[in-house]
Amino acid sequence: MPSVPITFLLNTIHGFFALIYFGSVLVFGVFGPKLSKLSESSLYDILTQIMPPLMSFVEASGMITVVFGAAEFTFYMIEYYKDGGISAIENVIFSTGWGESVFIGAILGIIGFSMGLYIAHNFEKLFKLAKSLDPSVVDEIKITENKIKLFSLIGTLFLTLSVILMILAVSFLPLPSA
Amino acid sequence: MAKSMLDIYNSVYEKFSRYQYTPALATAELASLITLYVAGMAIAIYRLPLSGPLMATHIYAAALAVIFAIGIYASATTANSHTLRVLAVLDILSVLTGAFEGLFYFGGFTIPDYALGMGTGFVFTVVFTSAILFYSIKNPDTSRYNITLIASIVEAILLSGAFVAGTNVLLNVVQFPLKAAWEAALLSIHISLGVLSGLGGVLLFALSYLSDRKDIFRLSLLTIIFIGIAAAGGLAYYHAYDYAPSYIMAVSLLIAIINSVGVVVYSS
Repeated sequence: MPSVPITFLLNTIHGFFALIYFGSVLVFGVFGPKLSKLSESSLYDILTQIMPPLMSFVEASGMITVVFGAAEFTFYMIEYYKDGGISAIENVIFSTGWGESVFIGAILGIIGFSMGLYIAHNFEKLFKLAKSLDPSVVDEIKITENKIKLFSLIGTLFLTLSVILMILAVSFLPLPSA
Repeated sequence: MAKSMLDIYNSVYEKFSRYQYTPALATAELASLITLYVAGMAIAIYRLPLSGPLMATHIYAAALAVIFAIGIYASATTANSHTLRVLAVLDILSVLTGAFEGLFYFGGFTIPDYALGMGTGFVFTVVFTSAILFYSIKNPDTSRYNITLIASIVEAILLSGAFVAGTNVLLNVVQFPLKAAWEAALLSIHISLGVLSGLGGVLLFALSYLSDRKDIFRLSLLTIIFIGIAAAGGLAYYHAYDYAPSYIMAVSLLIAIINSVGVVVYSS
């Protein structure tokens, strides 16, 4: 183990921003649909004033989670690689409990995060539609809102599974020895 | 004209909250980049072991720089500015290149190539972050000024080239006097680019003096001052092989790069 404090750092940052991201996704997924109960004018204010900076904050914390998670994964894998080459990495990922849950959790997490990006894209579309005062866009707004609802639900599901697998790996399964 | 503290605070707040707080994030990223550079260069120049407080500073500042770069990306993409969006993507790509090369280097593959990749990613990150910072705080109505624009682009390229060549020398040449031809070639590239950037800096300063533009003139002045300090440090180093002037050279080269990028952005 090198004396550089990378593992600790990567762990903390990955965990910290994962908390923020997962928490906000849950809030959006569970309470997002309630937004449509608001009156037209307050919904307009929320969509144009509050949501854009909030979206970019949430998106950034998700991205930080992915980047630092990838870095952490690479860091662990370098150690196994130095010990036994590619076959050691394959062995760790596909035949130990720790490797399997981290790997599957990572894939599920990335799928959930990509859905988050898709939702953010749809939100941006919604902001643009909300700003245009043309009454003919009402149908389109409905479609976009339904898309957001559906994908938030699926994305939340994927992320929840990912979080469960990650917690399982880190807290209960032993780290395979190199 | 006495300005109250509140006025100063308000004008700074107004500047730094533009484009969804991109300038504030860029300043924070630049600060952590400078911190990481000061610590990392101390380790490389004084040949310290890869542990201890300097190493911790380097790693933590690097992590912060990555976080801020991602933050810049997120706010610049929602800020409805095409230029900022492109710059933010380039910035995030270079910071990730530097960070992952560093991860390989500190994670166990301790060979100079990875450290050099880290340095190259770093210099691109500095260039793009300063471009983002200066672009987002400059007055959008400033007119284009082609003469200093070209001179400063050349200058920024020369300075970055001198930086990369110098890092290469630092990491690959183990001791002076030189023994091999490739070592001499590397050092010559570094010195030639350094001398050229000195000439380019003087040219840029002269052009900006003639330009009637205060912002460009001030940044060019800073550029040439720090190139001067870097050159003096370099000469002192190759005279006595003492590490301290070399450290001064490295740090002032970085500040000169930041200012020359500022001139590029302010004249475009």
